[in-house]
Amino acid sequence: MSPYPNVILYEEQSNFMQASPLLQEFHPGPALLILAWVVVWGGIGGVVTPRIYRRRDLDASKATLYGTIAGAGLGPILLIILWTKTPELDWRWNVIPSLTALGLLYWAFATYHPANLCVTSGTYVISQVSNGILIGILYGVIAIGLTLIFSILGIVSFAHGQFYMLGGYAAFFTISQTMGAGLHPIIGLLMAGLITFVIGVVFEYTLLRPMHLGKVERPGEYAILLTFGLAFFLEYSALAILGANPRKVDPFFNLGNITIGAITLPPSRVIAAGIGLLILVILLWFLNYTWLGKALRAVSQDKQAAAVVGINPLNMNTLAFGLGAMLAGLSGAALVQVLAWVPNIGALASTRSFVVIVLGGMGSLPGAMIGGIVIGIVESLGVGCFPDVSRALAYQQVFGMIIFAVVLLLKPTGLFGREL
Amino acid sequence: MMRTVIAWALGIIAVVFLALIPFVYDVFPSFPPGLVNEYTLHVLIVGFYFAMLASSWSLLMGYGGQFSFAHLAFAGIGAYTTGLMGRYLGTHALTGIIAGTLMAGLFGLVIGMLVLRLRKTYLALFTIAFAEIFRLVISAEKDFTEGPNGLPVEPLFPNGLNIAGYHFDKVDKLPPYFIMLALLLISLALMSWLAASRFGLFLRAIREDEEAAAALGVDVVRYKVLVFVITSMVAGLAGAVRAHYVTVITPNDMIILWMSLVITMSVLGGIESLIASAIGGIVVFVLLEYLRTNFLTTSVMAVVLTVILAPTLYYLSRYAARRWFNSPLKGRTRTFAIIAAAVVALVIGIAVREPVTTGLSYAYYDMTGSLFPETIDMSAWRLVFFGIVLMLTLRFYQNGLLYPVMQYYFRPGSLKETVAKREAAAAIAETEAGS
Amino acid sequence: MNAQPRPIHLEVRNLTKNFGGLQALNNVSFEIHGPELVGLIGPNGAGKTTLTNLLDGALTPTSGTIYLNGRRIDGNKPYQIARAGLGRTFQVTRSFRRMTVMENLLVPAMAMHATASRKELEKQAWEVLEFLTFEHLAHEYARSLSGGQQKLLELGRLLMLDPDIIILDEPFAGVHPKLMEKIYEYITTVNARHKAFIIISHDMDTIFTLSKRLLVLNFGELIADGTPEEVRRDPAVIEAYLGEEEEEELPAAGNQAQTEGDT
Repeated sequence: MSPYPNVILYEEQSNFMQASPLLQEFHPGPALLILAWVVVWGGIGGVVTPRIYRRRDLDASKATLYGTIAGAGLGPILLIILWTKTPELDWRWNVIPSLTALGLLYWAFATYHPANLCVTSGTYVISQVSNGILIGILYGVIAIGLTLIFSILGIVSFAHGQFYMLGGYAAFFTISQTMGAGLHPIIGLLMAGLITFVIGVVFEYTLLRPMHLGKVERPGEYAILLTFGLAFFLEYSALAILGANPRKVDPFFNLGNITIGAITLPPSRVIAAGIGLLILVILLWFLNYTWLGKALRAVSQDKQAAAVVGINPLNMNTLAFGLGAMLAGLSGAALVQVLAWVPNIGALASTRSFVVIVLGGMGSLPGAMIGGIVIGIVESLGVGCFPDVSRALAYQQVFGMIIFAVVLLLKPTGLFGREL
Repeated sequence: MMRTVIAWALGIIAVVFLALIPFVYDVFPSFPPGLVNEYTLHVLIVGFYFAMLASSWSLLMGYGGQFSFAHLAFAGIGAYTTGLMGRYLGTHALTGIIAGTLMAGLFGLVIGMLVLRLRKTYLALFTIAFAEIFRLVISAEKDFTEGPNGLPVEPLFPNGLNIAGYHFDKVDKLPPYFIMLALLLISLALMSWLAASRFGLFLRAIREDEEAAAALGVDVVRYKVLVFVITSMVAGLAGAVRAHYVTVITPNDMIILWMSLVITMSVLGGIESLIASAIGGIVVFVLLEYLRTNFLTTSVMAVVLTVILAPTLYYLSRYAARRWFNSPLKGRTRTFAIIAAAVVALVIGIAVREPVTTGLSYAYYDMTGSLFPETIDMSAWRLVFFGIVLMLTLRFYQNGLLYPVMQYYFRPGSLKETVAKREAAAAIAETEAGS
Repeated sequence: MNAQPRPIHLEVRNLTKNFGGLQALNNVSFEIHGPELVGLIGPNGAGKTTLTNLLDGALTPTSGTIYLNGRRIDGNKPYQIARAGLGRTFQVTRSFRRMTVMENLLVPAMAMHATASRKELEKQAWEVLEFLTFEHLAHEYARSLSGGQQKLLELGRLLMLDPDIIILDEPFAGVHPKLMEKIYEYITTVNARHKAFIIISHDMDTIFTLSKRLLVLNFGELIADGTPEEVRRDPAVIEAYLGEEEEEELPAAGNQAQTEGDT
């Protein structure tokens, strides 16, 4: 019944995948013990810590999350310190225990499947991590677009991934020699940015603005349903017009293979990450040094105050939506040389960006960037290290979703709070 | 009074019509040619399934204000419960359907309790996450669920069915048709009763303002969880029965596309009316199937022309009324203008469909050098069409297309209210003039 | 509304509430016996709204107890407290906007009377509508009412809830004089029907004439509890208000004569 009966998104696999020797030597016993240790102490930390904080009349809003991480990472040692000293919780209390927790999980994994390349070959792990960071930068840029929209308009755009998809196609049909206009990649990037910006602006101006003008009966639901409708419309327009055949272009620039020490980085990813960083720099410059950027930040902090000093918040809404869409579109353009482009690639990007902004904190730019990189690393390690590839592809998303759901339930503002 | 009678009469006629459709097919196998056949019945059966989903979603969303994207996941829970039970435990279809319904209700209970604190966007994100987790796990666990290849499910009556000396084969469409129709009507009746009772009243109060409702003695938690349980049970039931009808279920039945379509159905019908949502469900699904292959053939061209022309004509007449007669269209005049515009558009559409299609096909030939295909694969375009319709409906008809009409003509007491409203306006004008 | 008077007794003992390290309410104790009309005043941030939320169950106290008619209600859910006989309004009007006036009134009635038939409750609602002179608006959506009418509707909902104690959060804020008169009348009439009121207000003139007893909060502490005359002379109260800002000066004794009597 689906229009894509057999298209499942297989993102580009690393070459190591085929070489990975899959020995059937699994040792679940000790691995499960370690996992149980992490889970049990995490649970205890999550349940007990907020109670202790509340009993001492301290701010308990972060205690559940931090208690869980502290318990999972360092077990009773850190928990006892937390419980006896009850320090003020800031991000520092997060870093070391999360790293330790990751280490423990890795240890569990290593004992479970000792012949895996991720255990035996350090180089492989490093190359997977660096691949993950490279693509994670772009995940971060996409998520920053979503965050920008959220912090100015106060809505989550469910069509964000579709703008990413659109950007990729715009670049493909500008750049491709055989299917498209065969223009220079930079023009392709600009086209992608322009098209997504224009569509975003038009959509915001015609359909979302009435919501801010009070012409709509159920504003909260309206925004969700409407962006959902837009996603639906964009995705199937792309499918109808462009077809479901996977598209891809050659790397934008001919860099050859890039080797740093023992690891080789695929040039397409390096170029994509470079573009991502460039976009980020330009965005930061725009937000910090131009009048419009400063106005945007002002609106995100206090709408009324901004209106008083002569900034029209409605125009800022339109600008922010256009910019957010453009960031997604540019990332898509950068990634069309890395991934095989199909119309439903946007759905995955959407859910991934939700995960990233919820992990990184709704409305936080640095949070979105860090979240994007973390998700990039986790994904590439997940796919590279799991013995069963197709299952790994599904479960890496499942775990992302589970963490996402848990964070939503525990602390809807995300791990990094809100700042722009 | 009159309106109530008309409303009931129309409702009964619609139900009787739906109940008679299969007999037209059965008694006169070739009448009317191509209109009622196995395929039509199939489309209607699946249409009923979507009607159940859309109406229960509108109870959850329109009445309760609980934004859930996980509705198809609940249908999937129902389907996979009965499918897996039948496969591994060898249970009967009926047992499986009951278990599926209960299982969906149980999940609804858990989800409902988890999301008590979440509102609007966060709830939407959470339910998307839940739906995706469920779908991905089903896809990944191929050894257990067959994954994307699809899990085979027993038909509803594996040995066929004997009623009054007539034998229905297991692939016969009649028994599932009536079962699905009956389930739709029962669940609609049940949910409408609930919506009209204190349950519905409290749900709407919670939707409007949770804290105020609690301060007035409404047990918010209980009703929020309850609405999740009830609507997921309806979804689970629909999913389980459909699983036994289509006899193979895949995780693709739960992709976000189908959720978008359920939303479209509900929004087009009217998100705050169960019956309008159900009708929206049937109509949208029938249209979806119809548009799959038939686009740009002459009959569809007529529909398209009508759809384009009708609003144009209406807005033109509205403009004319304002410009030259200096009175905005209101009340009966407005209704008349709408109907007149629709009829005129339809007539024009039918009249010019042939030349327009021919002209288009010549143009197509000139441009491509190949003949215009009689039918085109519309499987993606029809979705584009519904995407546009969804957005426009949301923007301009927030109460849906059908519900306002139903409300205006058929709601008992609406006449009294109109009179009361007029009096109220007069009273306000009077006090303003007096002070 | 009901014929035989019920005993009304609210007892707040050593109520304390902390938010994180911030102490919003400290050791507040008071009692209300019978159908009193109590004003609750205090400078901004004194803890008035916190106290209301604690009484209503929206917040749970850090320590201390609240008894309503001999039943301990602190830690109960808002709906339980509402059913136990304590109703409130909010600072901003919170009518159910996309429900009709009649439905708005039926919500509390149905929540209170689980078994009563809808017809019976509707009859009761018509009485309330008559009292508010709202009969002609019964089937209007609440969102089409004016701001003042919505405020009256909220008060009408409280009548349907039929509580013993009614807390009004800023009933006079931002209303025009005519409506103010109407609300004033509502309070005195309903008070005469054996209901206690706790009224939070910044409108000193009105609150000093309306209420027979005043509670004054400052920095989370109850600094005065007595008749308006006593409170006006209380040095702690004078200091609290003078220390705050000049706009909120206590009304001079003469102001009282300007407004009409209160029963």
